[in-house]
Amino acid sequence: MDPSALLARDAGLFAAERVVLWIACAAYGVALLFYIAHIIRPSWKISRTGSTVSLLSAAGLQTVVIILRVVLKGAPPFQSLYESLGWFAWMTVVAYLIIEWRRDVRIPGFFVSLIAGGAVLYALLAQNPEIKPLFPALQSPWFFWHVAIAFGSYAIFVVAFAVEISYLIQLGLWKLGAKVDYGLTRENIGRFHRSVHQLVLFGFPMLTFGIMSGAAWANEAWGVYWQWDPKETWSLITWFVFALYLHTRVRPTWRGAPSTVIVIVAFLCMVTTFLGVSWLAKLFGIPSLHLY
Amino acid sequence: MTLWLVVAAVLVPAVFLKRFRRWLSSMTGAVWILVVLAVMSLLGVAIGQSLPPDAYTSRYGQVLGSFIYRSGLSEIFTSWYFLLSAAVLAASLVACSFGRLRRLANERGRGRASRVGSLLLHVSMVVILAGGVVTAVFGFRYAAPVYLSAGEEMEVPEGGFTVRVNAASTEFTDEGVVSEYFSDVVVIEDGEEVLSWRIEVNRPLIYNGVGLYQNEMLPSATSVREVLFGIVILTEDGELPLRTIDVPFNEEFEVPGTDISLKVLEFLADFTYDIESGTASLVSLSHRNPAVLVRISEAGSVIDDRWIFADVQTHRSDAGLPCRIFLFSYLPDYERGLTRFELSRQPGTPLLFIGFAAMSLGLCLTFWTRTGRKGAGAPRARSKTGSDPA
Repeated sequence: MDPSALLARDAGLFAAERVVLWIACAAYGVALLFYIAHIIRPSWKISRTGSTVSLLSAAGLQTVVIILRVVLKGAPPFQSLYESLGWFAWMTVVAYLIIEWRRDVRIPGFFVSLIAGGAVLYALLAQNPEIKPLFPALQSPWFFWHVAIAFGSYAIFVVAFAVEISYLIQLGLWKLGAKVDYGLTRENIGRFHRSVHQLVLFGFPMLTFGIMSGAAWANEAWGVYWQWDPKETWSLITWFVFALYLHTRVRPTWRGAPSTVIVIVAFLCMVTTFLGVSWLAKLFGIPSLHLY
Repeated sequence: MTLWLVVAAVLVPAVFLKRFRRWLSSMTGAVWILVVLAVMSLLGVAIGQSLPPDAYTSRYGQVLGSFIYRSGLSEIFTSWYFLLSAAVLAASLVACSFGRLRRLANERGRGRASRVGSLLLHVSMVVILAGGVVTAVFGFRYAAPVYLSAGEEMEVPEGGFTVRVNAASTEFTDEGVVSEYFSDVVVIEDGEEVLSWRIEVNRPLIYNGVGLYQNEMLPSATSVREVLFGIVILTEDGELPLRTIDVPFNEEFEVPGTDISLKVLEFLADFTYDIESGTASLVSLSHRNPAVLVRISEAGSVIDDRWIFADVQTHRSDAGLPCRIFLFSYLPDYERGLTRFELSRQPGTPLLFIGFAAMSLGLCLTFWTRTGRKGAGAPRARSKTGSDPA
């Protein structure tokens, strides 16, 4: 194929990608509306089916976008914030759908569709979709594993947070005497709440693999595996707090309020690691190795 | 009296040590250590590390700023209290691992895989910390990066060998974006060439335990490949419209349609001029104030040699010249550029990777096996001492 035909093909695929991503974003919006409807009127069956179907279709469309991007650039789709946000949203939704399928409780779906839809919308409106060549430092086999695994852990922690908040909402509603049926009873809410722990049990090793692969990569690129760079430090703080959570879960007296507080703090640390560090570094001019 | 004092001097630390040891191996101890380390790391990253003292006083005020600097908070990750906390963490991990080992020896049944995993997980952290200590004590990192150009040699400090750069350059994509920096080097030991290696980003040369890492390259500060000039030809009837021309470095170039020719004699990436000696030289190696010395000839005879700057107009008038010239841009010369190496020796790295491998295995066994997931979530009875084993 000659260069102009190649360019035309890429431009066509690129335009198609934007359209599909906008439709996915709209599907997240529809899912969010269904989840809100479900929270207001849990007995309404359409909202139950509609929320899951629209979230599934959004995830499906995003899968198409991700595949398109991989084909277009021939590299993993998380180099720029535009790509990373899409990847993060997709992983979050996939992780959540598994939980929804297993637990049949839809309150966390509100948070998940809000966060995933918000991430995609922000990427579409405020981020540059341009495909840039990989700079030399990113041309490493570690790149894929480091980012894919770290983002996998972020996605799982978002779902854990959504479940924890939903649990607190349900407890609060019972305390207020409200009679709503989100599929949770005093008997099964413990099982639902244990999902947070199970998710962290899955996400924590991924975060650890993410940190370890980053260290191994830095060792190869810079000859030093740990430099206390803001992103490194924040990831370690997040790791400490999740480790703390796992330790508190072992003791019956710490499993209630203390572990709830810790898991929320851990989530906030994770958000700072993911988004806050770059933002803070740019705001205060702090040098960081992760400003891609 | 003296006897009592001696007894007290022995017993009090013994009792204290016993309590401390118990605390170290307890869950409470583990939780507190994690909290302290997390808070210190948070403090460190929030304050900002390794900044000059002025930065702290201007950011936090005189009193707080100088306190931050004097108390070591500005270098918290190497401060004695952070290192002490890390040492306490290591001690706690060792103590708790011994407890785990003892319990494991007495245990049979389904939960064994996860117990082994958990033990591995805790021991691996000690190994990783040990790797850090080994690197900190026996390793070195050359303070500043080393810049070498093609043909140059360098004796590698603490390496016992010499490195010669045969060639170094930068590759670009079709769009003109850097795609790779590389340096072809030869290792010379006892006067003999023992190894040829291409150093690239993410592909260091490691020889005798010392690594040479490249992640950047500076284009030459004294040469360019080609210069893009804007030129306005002055004729008796007035000025011709501005046009652009690409002039190769150090080659005579005739401006098409005229009898004017240009030759780029010199290039300086960061120009300065000494009025007394009348010489131009470099301030630094970065391309901050680029300038080219251009020889302007007309009909075969030299009219002037003149410095042209990228950012500012020349101070001298154009009187007597057949044209006005502007320096628009230039193609940097990477082949005569300086390749940049970071040098380090990290003898703790093997320990680190052993730790990583053990930790990976431990994580999989503890969290991702069926019994592991159950084991990790199962509540345990409180021990008689009131503190659970960590």
